Amino acid sequence: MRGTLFILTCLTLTMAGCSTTGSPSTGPDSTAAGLDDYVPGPIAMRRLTKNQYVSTMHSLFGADLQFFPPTEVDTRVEGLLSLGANAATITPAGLERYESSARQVASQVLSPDRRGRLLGCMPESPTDADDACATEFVVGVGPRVLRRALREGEADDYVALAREATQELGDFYRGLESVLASWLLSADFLFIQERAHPLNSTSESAGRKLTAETLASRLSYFLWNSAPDAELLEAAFAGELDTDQGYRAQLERLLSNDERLGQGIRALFNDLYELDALETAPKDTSAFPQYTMGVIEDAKEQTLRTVVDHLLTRRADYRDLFTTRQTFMTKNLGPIYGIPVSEDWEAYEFPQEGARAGILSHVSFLALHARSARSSAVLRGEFILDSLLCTPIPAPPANVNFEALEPNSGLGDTARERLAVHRSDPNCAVCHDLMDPIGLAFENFDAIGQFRTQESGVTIETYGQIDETEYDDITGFYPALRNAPRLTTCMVLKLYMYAVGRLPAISENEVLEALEADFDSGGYDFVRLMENIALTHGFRATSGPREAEAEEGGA
Amino acid sequence: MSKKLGRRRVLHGMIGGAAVSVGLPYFDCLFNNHGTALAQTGAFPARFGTWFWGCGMNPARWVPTTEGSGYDLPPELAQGIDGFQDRVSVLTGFDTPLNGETNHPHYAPPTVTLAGQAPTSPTDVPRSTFDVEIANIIGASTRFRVLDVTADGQGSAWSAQSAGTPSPAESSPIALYQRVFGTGFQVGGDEPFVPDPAVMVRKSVLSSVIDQTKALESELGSHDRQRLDQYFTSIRQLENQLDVLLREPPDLPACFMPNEPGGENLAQEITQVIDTHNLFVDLLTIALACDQTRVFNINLWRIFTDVRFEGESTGYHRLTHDEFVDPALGYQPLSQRFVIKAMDAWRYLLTQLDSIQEGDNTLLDNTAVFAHSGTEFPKDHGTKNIPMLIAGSAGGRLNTGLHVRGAGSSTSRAALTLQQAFGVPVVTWGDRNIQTSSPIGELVP
Amino acid sequence: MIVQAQKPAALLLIAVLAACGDSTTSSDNTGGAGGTIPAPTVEEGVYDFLATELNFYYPEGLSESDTDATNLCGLDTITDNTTYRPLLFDDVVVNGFDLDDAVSTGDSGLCAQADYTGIDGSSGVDYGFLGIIDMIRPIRPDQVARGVLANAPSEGLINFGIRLSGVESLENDDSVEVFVAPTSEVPLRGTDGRIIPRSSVPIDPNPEWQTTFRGQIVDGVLTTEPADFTLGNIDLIIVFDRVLELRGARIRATFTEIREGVIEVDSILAGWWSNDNMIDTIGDIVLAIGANDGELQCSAEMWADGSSDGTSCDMTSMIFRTVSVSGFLTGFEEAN
Repeated sequence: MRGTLFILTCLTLTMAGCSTTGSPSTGPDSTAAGLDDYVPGPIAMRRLTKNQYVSTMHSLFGADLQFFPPTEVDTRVEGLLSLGANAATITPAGLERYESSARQVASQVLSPDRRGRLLGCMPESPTDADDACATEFVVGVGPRVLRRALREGEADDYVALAREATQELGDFYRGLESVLASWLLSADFLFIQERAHPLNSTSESAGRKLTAETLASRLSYFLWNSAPDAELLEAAFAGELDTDQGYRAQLERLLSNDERLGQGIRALFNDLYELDALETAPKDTSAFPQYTMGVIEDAKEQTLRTVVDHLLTRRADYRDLFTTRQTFMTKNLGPIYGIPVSEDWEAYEFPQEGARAGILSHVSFLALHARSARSSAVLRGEFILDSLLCTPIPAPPANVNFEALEPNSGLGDTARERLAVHRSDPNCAVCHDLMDPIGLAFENFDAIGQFRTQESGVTIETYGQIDETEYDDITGFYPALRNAPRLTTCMVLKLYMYAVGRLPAISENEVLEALEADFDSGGYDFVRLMENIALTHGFRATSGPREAEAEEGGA
Repeated sequence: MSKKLGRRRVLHGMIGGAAVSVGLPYFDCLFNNHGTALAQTGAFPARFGTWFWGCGMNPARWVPTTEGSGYDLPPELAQGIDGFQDRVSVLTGFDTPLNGETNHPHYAPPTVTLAGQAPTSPTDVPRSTFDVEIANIIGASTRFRVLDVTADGQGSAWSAQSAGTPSPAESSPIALYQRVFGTGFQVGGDEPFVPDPAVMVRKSVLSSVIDQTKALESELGSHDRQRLDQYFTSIRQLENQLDVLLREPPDLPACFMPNEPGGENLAQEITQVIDTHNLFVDLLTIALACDQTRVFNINLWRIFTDVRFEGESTGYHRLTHDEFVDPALGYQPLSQRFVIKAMDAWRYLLTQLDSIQEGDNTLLDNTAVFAHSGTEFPKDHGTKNIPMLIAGSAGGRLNTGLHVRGAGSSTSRAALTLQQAFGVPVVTWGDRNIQTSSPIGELVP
Repeated sequence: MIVQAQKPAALLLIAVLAACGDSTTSSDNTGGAGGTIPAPTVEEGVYDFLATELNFYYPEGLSESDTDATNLCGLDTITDNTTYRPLLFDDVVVNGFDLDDAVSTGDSGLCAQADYTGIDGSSGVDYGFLGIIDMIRPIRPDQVARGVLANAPSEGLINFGIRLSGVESLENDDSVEVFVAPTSEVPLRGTDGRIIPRSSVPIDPNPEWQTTFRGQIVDGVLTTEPADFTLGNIDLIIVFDRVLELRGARIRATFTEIREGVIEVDSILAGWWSNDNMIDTIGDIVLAIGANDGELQCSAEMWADGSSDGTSCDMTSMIFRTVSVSGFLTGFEEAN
């Protein structure tokens, strides 16, 4: 039953396929940006992920701020937290934490030693209300925090709140704190809100244009993983983002800030590679005492540094992320990789003939996709198929018997021999014929990513195949994956979903194909892909508010 | 707020007249001034809790052979309820149908049991869980509508606020202590009560948030409006908590200020997980006795748990898959140790709740704790015969001390029974073939 | 589920990938290594090790006599305690060296003490310090000293590395170089508190604290020629920055692969320990853990079996046992 379902899925995929190899981009501009006669998917109101909440606070008020991160549980949809965020709400327990963080932040922001950063005026008396100074604070800071212009009369309400609180507590600044706290608890802050212009402002067949404020948030969270900065918001308020020229100018500015764009790229890969889960992935410490918290932290950072260095600093081919031997090393990681390290974060090149190349040979990937005490060809294969090649694998039957997979099962010394047992069962083989050859290529790496040549005293074989490409060992797997066309198609899809915060509508298939063609013809320049996505109509427009019922029928 | 106050005044008047009509949950009548009211009437609020243990039990050692009252006690069950049998109902033979969805065996059964809907993926949270519905009825007036805790570090205790939104659970007893018994907590009757102006300002802030967010509502589509409604509900819940802080705390005889836990060790070894669980139970018991909350959810360990015995490298979940069934014993001997530990933990919860005297009864009597697991026989990870227990009668709202067989009906019947017992106006519960309109009649007084 | 509603669109797109995957092989990119992947290496013929344990050498099978100890130093504690009995080491086998090239008995010449039988059956093995161990309760087997000294590397108190170079084989090699130096940092420690194999640590740049031996490996046993040994950076809880010196020191070591890519070395370090240096390095700590004032001095004088000047008995033959694991020593450039 399960097998049948999956084969059907594969067929669907196959039939839809062969129109991708479209014409390459001709001019300096992307083909994707030229498409504008489709109605994109609906608005995506997204709860800030933990990560975004923290980075937003830091970018607004400084990185030295101390507060509790949210307790709300972020969930993944299509492998991305940023998609799960468009279904998430705020729980009572979660709001409790948000409220306590809001108060912590407000009291620090308005403390004597840092209030000057945001506040240009002084009250007549520090113990009495001062509407003029409060107004200055409300008008100056409110739009930054709320990521939108204040509505008519709204400022007066906040000034009134400040006055009331000041009178109650006898402290002007605590009055302002209550206003700031109210912003930090508002649905405009806790969610990324999206708004569209009325339908008549653009042609009916193309949906509705997003407002400038919405574009500012989309751009900023997509590229910088944080709230829009003052300049971007100013440009939105001034109407500059409503013109193509003004929009492109801001886009270029955001793309040219390497540090903040690097943060954005890190956030994306942190999400896509589930690196947030590394810290809590259980490991058997009696078997692996060398797997310390320092290793976990550095393993995650190593991969993110490598990604940013490769995609942003070097502007290298995205596909080479899976074959590059360039990385960075720390003393914590040295014992796991089995190499000498002189300085933390020194540049390091994996040996040319060695088994490691690309980010999938990093400890982060290998340890996360493994069991607590042993490697897992299945978990590794599944992640690559699901998250990197966009080929989802159904779950195994509930009563699956894993006895055969244990090293002491008597059914084989190596994972390859043991997996062969259940691949002989046709029910299992349907999926495992896809997963196992990929996952088994990584069997030279144990549960924490240490290199090994043997399991139970028997030499490990790592040959396999991906699509039609066969390889003898892991050093052949990396280029085979790199050259798999699905790899780039999938990246385009994931990045697009990440950027717009929702699944693509069927109407957006063509733009996705065009984006891929641009990616192909542009040498797989990742930053260029980000730029091209930001330039699509789908990124800048919407079908409108998201209706629960209409959605069920599909777009 | 003024409407509610009006209602309370009315009800308060009625209490004096002794006759409280049905239609409104009668314990709610007591909330405004319940310290005094309780002392006068001797009535205590009903509480509800859920308790989850992953990986099931061994049927031959757990399921009683006789039905009804006075059922026999096989060894694993005895470990959990010996001494409490007349106050615990055992539910066996209930299934979690999946409506044709793939069985994600580590997530599906508890989700079906609590939400009445099958998840479409391991991360899918299809809708709110029924403990939330009960909390809406009995939890609205306490400082915390519900407290969720997890002893094995999992992010939630299976409860979900709405689709896509699991409720976060405390994984650290110290954090729970600080949240409940830190700033803002006061034992009633200790000292003259002066409302804190800072709390009043916090309420003003929340009012401002609601006022300003109202404008947003009209801009959203129905999908996002539902999510915004949940957000408003959460804000109102926090307002209620602040209201509680602005009132003189009730003078409850069993309430006291506990000491902060001296330390905690949140590792995955069995001793630590059980210690963490028991510490949570201690704190929750006092939180209930002090009427800080009336609803709680506890996750002992998930199905996909890595909890292990000291010095062993294989965690419980792996063991359930990998360990051979001993043909002489009929079960997996190593895995079986965890069932015993889970049942110990369950009995600890009952013992603690029973240690708080409330009038002629105990806190346990005034509570209904619903225990459920994710499978029957650990090795199978099946969706049939999900074991469930209900301890306490919630102040006489449920019959106890019975063994009821479900004969293959859905676990959603337990969810329906419990919701109705707590006054949730629900007639049918669950999605498609999970759906039921039949509460478990034996449990209804 | 609402979230699922649009899924077909996503799936459709994925189809693209499955379909147009051109089925040409990329064999020219596979490297053609044919499954033989070299393990990570440092440098040809170089093996680095980090000390994880250090202790006085305690021979196997030490037993106690059934008579009370004699209060040889005239100190007040020994005779008071009838549970304190002399060690019997007439028949013990000692993993050491014949440092003075003489088979001594108790009266065979200047500073002579009875020698021991070696593990290979040879005679004349020197270990005068065993007599001192016998006389000072806190440093006898399984007493306090064991914890103090043995854990010193993992507690970051005494850390040193060993580099073997010019090695063609750890089984047999007629000429290898053995370099020993303190490290200037403490190696990483794991969740079990022990030093993590394959950690990288810089050597201390002070050349005076480094020793180079020549040696050979025969059937898996490394043996070095004598050299004067100096090791700095010795800390022992209450004493700091001491320098250990052994004259005419030699090493014997065996190698075991404890897991892939990690070798453990079990070794003894034997040599002449001047009584002055002995008291300077371990005197305070021995006192601190329960010896009597002057006890070490008295014992050392009594058991000294060597002479630095040919006239006075002022040094004692010593054996340390140390365990080390594969690691990486860095900082040689700075040191040179």
